[in-house]
Amino acid sequence: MAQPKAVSRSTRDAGPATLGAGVRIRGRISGDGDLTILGTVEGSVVVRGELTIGEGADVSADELSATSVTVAGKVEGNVLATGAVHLASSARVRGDLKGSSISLEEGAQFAGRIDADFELPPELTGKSR
Amino acid sequence: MAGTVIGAGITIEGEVISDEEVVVQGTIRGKLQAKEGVTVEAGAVVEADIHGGPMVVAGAVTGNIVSSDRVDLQSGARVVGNVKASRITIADGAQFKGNVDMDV
Repeated sequence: MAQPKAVSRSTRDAGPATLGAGVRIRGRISGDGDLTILGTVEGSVVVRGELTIGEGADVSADELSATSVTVAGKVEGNVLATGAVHLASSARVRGDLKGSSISLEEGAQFAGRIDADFELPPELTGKSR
Repeated sequence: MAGTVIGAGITIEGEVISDEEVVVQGTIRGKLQAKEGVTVEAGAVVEADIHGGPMVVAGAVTGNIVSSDRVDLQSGARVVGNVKASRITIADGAQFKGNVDMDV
């Protein structure tokens, strides 16, 4: 029998959040939980969760930070993820990308730096002590 | 077109302008302006002036509410601010402090 187990706080707080195509936000967005942006955002976005910037979205932010980030829209600003960053084919990104893994689909437009935290194989690090 | 839901864990500090319906479950500080309806769900915190169409409030609002249509303050709502709308309901159990302007 399924008992309503004490849901961990982070899970319970993580409501679904969508900023629709007809929405413009100027300011700071922060919090826990997954966030999908389909509209226009100017400011910064810092969430603990999955951040999706959908096709048609227009985001210009000083900071875009999330556990993982998927971009299919237009982004100006630096993207920082603790996990993966993925640029879909419709993405147009100007800024730096940082994450544990970075992937760009064919067709994605990108201008900036990529900083992926991965360990180089020992033969490439020129041998460490 | 997907609607807009500001989820329970999300905080927005700034200005939210929407052409579509907005559901607030999280926190907004600043300004909220919608062309369509606005729903402030139980547990949501809005510290902002709200302009929009039909509104349903079950959460906490600190700020003035202006609706082109109607405002329903449901049980559990806590509103501090003035409400301007042509039709207003305040349910039993709703807390409200402010002025009502029904444009008469």
